Amino acid sequence: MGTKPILYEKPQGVRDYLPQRAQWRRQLEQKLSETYRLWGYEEIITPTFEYIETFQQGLRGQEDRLFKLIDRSGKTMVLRPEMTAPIARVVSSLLKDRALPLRLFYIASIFRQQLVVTGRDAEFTQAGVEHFGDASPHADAEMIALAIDALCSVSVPGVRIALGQVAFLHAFLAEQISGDAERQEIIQSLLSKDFVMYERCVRGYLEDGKLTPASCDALLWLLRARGGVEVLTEARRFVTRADSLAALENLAAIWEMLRLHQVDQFIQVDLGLLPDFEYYTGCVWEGYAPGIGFPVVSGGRYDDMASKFGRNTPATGFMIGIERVLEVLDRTGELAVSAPKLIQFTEQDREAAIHFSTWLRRGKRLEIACSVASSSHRAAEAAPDVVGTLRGGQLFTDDLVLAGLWKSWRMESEGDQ
Amino acid sequence: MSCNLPDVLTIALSKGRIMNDTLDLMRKACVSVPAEMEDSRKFILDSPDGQLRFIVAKPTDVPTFVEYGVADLGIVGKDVLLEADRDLYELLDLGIGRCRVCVCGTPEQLGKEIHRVASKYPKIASDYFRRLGRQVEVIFLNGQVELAPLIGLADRIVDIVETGRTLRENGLEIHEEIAEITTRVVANRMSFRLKNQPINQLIDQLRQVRLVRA
Repeated sequence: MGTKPILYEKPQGVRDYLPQRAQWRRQLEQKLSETYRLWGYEEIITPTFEYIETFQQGLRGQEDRLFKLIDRSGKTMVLRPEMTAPIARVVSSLLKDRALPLRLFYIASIFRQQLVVTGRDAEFTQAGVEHFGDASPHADAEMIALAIDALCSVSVPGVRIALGQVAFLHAFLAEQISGDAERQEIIQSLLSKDFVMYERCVRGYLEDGKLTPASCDALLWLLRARGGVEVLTEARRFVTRADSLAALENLAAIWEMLRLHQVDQFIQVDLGLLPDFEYYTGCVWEGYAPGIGFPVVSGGRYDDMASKFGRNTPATGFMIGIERVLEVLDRTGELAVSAPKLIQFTEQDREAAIHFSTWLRRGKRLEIACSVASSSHRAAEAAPDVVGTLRGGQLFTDDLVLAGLWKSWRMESEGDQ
Repeated sequence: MSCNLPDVLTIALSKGRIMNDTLDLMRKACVSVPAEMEDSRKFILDSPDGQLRFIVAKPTDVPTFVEYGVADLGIVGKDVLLEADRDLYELLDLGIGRCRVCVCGTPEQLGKEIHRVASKYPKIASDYFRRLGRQVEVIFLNGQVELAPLIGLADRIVDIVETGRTLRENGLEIHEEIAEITTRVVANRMSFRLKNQPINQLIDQLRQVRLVRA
């Protein structure tokens, strides 16, 4: 039975940003954009909704989380559930003649239906970048270093990045496990982060003779394959196939370049890392910060995405979750906010008040906003942010800066006459 | 305000069925557990060495606490995990709290078509029947699910069965087994990265003493 929404009710999972938070969010978005631009990335804006076909590569088995709309001809459109596919679409069509590499960034709302009452957002904001046309580890290291720089620029403390490689993972599993069904089971347990099921499967396969003891050891080792660059050396003991070794080489090269970027202390190798998105083809990574249980950033390489839209070019990228960063900064108290200040005036002083405040704005002389309100308005009298009162041609204020500005204005305006 | 401190490992424990076995196992593993744990009515207790903080919680809340990172680790039954479907790392099977999730009914109903099922586990129940391609209506009940078939509310129940005594005393029996349940250690995604070392150490300690089925 549906109940009619209460007049002021909002749908589950969307939120209002009241002035203070709205200001924080915009500051955050601005600082991130600035950092992205400094690294040579250009902003791109794409539509809020698109045909469902654009996102076919997207969420693994999560079609039921799309917000769907039907247009007049009966075609299904969706509110964008991610930004990677739309950007790959643009790069393959409108920008198909632009030379590579192409560096783009976006700040955009993302929409996903939440199935249970989990308190998760249905609309959230991602600030991300995409780098097309460079298949080398250089581009991947640039992504990670840029993400760390961006998070540091907004004062997120204690960032830690977990770095994996899906190409290695698949090659490694193919090398150890011959059966497709068994391999799928192992992949499923890694996707759901269920190490209990993983271990049970591995030991079961060994008992059934589907694994050699050496492969069993290798598979159990994978769960502990986390740490510094030494994990990559260890991994070489367990693989012989060319594609496995190449994937390890790739990670080692990325690590070396991260060292050049002087961010290797933020990185932890995790060879068992397998994110939810199906489109990743190479290195994958997630970043965490203390105080919030969800990743604040995630990224990776997806070389096949653009070719689905007709342009064969490698790509790598990441996105930072704005709401998650806000939550971290809420806790660390990093966010400063300036509420607009108010100058009151009596009726006879209206002219001076308007002229003075115009003068303040034009010269951008106050960092704070300034507005006038007649003191006959009771609401204005009650406002806590009143910094001064104009009465009988005099400004009464405790704010020394404002008092000084008033003096200068008086001198200027008297000089004019 | 935040309960989860950077240099303390916060563990959410499920009170009730598996609490005592969990504490026994932890003591056996030489984990520093507050002495007053069993008798206290406090919800938050710190270990004597100050390294661990325990939150005593309703089992169904444990996965939520851990997913949001207010607890780094949780000790909780697989039944609760299957029902909650949260994004967590499942690190270790402690082997305690062993039971089964089953479809149960009266002996007369055995083999007959199922229309309506009552359960404390609506997700486990509907997932199970959907997987088998059977269309069944699932009704959520909060407790004493065994009542449902007796009063004609449902023709089967889906519930955990430990000894089977409650079932027998109410004239019910197991018809189908859905899953085997044990107690698991789960970890938050952020904690799994940022508190890697203390978590690994605790898991290794517990691994030594966990119950392995003969």
